[in-house]
Amino acid sequence: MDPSRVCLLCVLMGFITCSPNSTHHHDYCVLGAGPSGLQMGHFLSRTQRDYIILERNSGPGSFFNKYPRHRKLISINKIHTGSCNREFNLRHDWNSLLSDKPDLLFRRVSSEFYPTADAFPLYLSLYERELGLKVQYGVDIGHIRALSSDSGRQYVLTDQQGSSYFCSVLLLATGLWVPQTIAFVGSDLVEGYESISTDPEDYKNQAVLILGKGNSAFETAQSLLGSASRVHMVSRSPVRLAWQTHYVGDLRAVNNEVLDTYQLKSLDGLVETHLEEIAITKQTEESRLRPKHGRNKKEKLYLTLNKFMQNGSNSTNSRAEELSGFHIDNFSMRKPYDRVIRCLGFRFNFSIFDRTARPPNSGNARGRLPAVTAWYEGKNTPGLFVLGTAAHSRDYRTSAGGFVHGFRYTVRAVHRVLEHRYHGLQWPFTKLLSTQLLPWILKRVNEASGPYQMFQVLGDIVLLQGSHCKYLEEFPLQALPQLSSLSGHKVTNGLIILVLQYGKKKIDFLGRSRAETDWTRAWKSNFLHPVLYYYNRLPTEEEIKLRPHGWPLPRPKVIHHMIEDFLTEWDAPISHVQPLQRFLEHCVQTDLRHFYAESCFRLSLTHRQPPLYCQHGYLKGQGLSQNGQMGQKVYNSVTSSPGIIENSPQQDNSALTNYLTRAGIPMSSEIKHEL
Amino acid sequence: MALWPSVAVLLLCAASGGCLEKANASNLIEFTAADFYHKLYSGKMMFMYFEREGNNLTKQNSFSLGCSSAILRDEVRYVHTDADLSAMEKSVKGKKDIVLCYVSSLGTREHRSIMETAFVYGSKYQFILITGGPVLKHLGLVTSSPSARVWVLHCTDHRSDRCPLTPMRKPVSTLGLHSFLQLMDAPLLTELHEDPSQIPPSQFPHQLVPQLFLFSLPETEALDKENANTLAGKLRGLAQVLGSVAVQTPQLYNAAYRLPGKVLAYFHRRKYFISCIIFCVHIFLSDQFDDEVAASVYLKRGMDLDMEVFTELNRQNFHSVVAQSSLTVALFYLKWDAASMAFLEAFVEVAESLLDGDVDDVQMCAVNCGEWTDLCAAESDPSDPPFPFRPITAFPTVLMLRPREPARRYGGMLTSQTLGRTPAGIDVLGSYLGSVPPLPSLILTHNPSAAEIYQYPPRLPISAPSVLQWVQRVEEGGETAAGALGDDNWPPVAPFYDFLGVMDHNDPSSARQQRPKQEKSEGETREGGGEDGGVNTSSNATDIISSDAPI
Repeated sequence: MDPSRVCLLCVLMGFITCSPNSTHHHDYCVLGAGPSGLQMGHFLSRTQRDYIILERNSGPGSFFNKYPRHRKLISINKIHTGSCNREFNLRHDWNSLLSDKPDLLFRRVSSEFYPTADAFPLYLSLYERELGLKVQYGVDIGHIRALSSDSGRQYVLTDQQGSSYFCSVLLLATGLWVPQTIAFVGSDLVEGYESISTDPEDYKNQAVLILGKGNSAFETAQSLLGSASRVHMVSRSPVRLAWQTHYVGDLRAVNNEVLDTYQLKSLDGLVETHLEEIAITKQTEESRLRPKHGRNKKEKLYLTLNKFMQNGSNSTNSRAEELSGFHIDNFSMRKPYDRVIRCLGFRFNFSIFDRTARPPNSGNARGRLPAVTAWYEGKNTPGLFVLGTAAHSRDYRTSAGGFVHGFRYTVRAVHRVLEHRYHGLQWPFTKLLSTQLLPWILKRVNEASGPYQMFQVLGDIVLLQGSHCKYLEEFPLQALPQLSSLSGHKVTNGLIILVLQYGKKKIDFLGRSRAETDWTRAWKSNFLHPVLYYYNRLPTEEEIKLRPHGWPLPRPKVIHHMIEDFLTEWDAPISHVQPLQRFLEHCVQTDLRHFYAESCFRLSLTHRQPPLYCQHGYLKGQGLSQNGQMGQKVYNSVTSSPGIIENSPQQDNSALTNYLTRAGIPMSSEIKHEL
Repeated sequence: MALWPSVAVLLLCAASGGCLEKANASNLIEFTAADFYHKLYSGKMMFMYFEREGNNLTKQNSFSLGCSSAILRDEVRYVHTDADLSAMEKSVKGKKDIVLCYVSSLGTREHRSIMETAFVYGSKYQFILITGGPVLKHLGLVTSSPSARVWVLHCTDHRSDRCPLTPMRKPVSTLGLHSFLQLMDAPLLTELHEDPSQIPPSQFPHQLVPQLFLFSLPETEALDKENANTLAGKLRGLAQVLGSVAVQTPQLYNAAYRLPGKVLAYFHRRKYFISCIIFCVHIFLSDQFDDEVAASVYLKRGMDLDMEVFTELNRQNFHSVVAQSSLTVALFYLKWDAASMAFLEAFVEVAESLLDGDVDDVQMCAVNCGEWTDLCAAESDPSDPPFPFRPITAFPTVLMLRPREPARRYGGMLTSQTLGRTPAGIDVLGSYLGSVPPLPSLILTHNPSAAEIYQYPPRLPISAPSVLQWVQRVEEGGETAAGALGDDNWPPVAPFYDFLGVMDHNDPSSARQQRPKQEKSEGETREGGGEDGGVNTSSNATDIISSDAPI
């Protein structure tokens, strides 16, 4: 971007003076130095872009200084996996951010499986420092507007000092931190998760009602089990268990002790109702008998229904006929509570946006999130992208886009979109021989962390081009119709998309026959397994929209499910490899089998052209020898002969050449030079 | 060539029993053996029964199913436990063989195939149909398999307690069953007095059955025959075994085989092992593998390779290890890639020989790219020097690494066979000309513009002038082609498993695109279910707070 042009622009528009103290220009402004902001900072820094990360607090990840309130992260920190594969290990590391530094991992700050929350800002500081990211702390952006001119669109951010930041691209990484509330009569009597005491002593012998059944609600309930007299939890929907829904945002087993005390009838319990229809009323019970002892006033909170409330009455000291127990004698929550606590999660802060820059509310998640395109650009706000938790509307309640271990990959995808759109660089790809596609897909299936964490959202794309293909990693599936404009790659001969997905059937996930083992029944797999979709052209937006229920992609020409695997190792020759090979052969309409040199020789002589594998290997001087019978005799004779090193132009190679030759692996005299 | 007439006759016998005879016997008996053989050869036999009965598909089906249910009642028995089966074996011992069929559910295509077969062969074999039960254990099925299985229990001339059984390995289909039962009935060993090259490939219905020729020498004929019989017993249901006192075949071959659709291949005495592997791979794994390399790797899956012979090479130690030796040879492989694993075996042997030979200026490394993914992707730590090679994208790859030099990719040929004198050469000639000509033989092929193959007249002496003349005649079109090359189009050989078709069949709506919504397009679309994705079962109906579950 040309700073002089922007200066001219601001002078003309007369907003602020162009003094260097108060005006800043950047190609990329990242708002927020939390995990997604720093993650984007790394990618921008690696490609040497002009960027700045703006953060209102004095350190990174300040959300985690306060939340979760009971200080235990539920993102797993699995250090030991039995594998040295860094990419694979990220499948089980939910806290680290992506970087080129192999040891810049969360495990450096904590070895706990469920780490304490304090470790996270610590890790983020480490990450910021070691990668030398440009973060400006203490900048509290209170206002964002867009400027459109002939030369394009810009976002102008104004901070608490009145300084302005002019940004060609705005990357919102502000997270979710505004507590979500629901309006009902008496909602003012409710305490919030953000401000409750976390000392169990303060709840001694109290009856507590918690609004919400998410992880924050259960985390709170769990902390009170030993002190509260009873804990009730109420929300619109029944509790959703993460191990049943495969959604990590649903109730995690680490927080679910209340389920035990509820099901074993230990005075705690869960109830469903629409929170908009409830009312909380306060009753003050005067203690008439012994006014001299202790408190003489006792405030009790009653949960009732809005429809029982009489006109004009407020939430204080309601009449007996306004209480539910008056109407329904066995009403489940007829007894009063000492406290009502709201644990309903957080919403996106929409308040800082001018009309020109405000992304619309999402259709899902009760509009708590901004609505974004499949490539995370705000709807109606070109050049403004949403990163991190706030971008979760794309995969709300399905995948991991709202969590560090998911959005670190979507941030990378956004960066790739930016690199193409603003710098003309194609989405990175690997060019492969079609005969090498099978092992390559298996490699990704067995190690890739992006499609594994962001299942059903990010997928690998294979662009078929005859005897070659291009392999693109981790493209946002819903953006497929825009593949060309987002990635710079064209579809010529069809494409294969690799997705990891769960079965969509609700089954007993601990019951018998929960897993399939016969590969022909792979389409019934319930657990995470690879699925390949083949299209002969790009799906249209309409086709994506009308995709079959529960599918990440529209109906393809051919589909291939790889049977779920207990070990998540998809390498079994009969059950995994060969069915995949047949599928690939069908997609490219070509025999992709391996052949030994002898077969290649025969097929080369009996056909005008041998199969592709022979063309790629044998005909280029590299064949595969069927070497099974090489006996010890050969080696004994070789090794006992002192005369094997003969005069050779490549003196230092000759010993090896001899060995290879006698082992049936003769050296070609011309060694192809690499690089 | 005594086999074929007997096959034809057998099929006649079989077809003259059961339901068909009553329905339409006169038509069938009109065939002579020659007619029958002709029909068999042309591959039309299986449709004949049905064509006579009615000309449209529905009629055929109702006919065959009607017939099938008659058989089901009268002829096809059911067993549940192993004791039931044992009793059944006793009752037919010395009289009949048993065809035992397992289907997971009735009414499937496989079930129909079995019933059709029972209908044709019902008088010759005792048919048993099972859909489960403890007897499966005796048959070696651990859990109920979704696909049908068939076994033949040889009870006719077996004296021991239980009848030995032969499983059918191919997928169950009418044609496959037919072929299998025919093979069960063919003599174990067919004796030939011709050279294998004179014997045509297996014909219908055995066109998918490999042939194995065992050559015998006059002086050892009795012993050879005994061995051949034993082998034939082991290969029953898998291959046709033909014993031959070979007349023309040179003595350096001791056996030959012909795989379906392939030309004859010889077991060279020196390369016996390879031939055995190819044949065994085909025999035992052709149902499971299309890929010869994958099959041979699978066959050796129990053998552990000694990976200790390699120097460990990874991202951290790369530069220091390479600096240790004037030459480092590194194999980059993936363990699920058959070519990698086939090559790895040879590579281990090379490394072993270097160790044994005390060659210390070369160190051998094998890098598992499924584990050291960053090294294989040439991704070095930003603080370290870069790796001297580009990302590995083809497997296996062998790199020659020297200290402070860019890597060189080993581009050598991985075989040393001089193929002109190997069985492959004969194989190629046979493919060109249909039979092996007297050697030496001069062939003109791979003419850039055409697929034709020309053979230099065998009786003409090979001299420069006459060869030149011959080539000129070929160019002018004055010679008749002796054969043609196969085309250069290589479509997939194996059928792929059509999951979409299976899903449509089993759960028709699951894979269907949604219809465009007419109304309420806005409010109804909810990606990922939205907040109200869960169903509130109680409060909608009563409009009161549901109490917790009743006790």
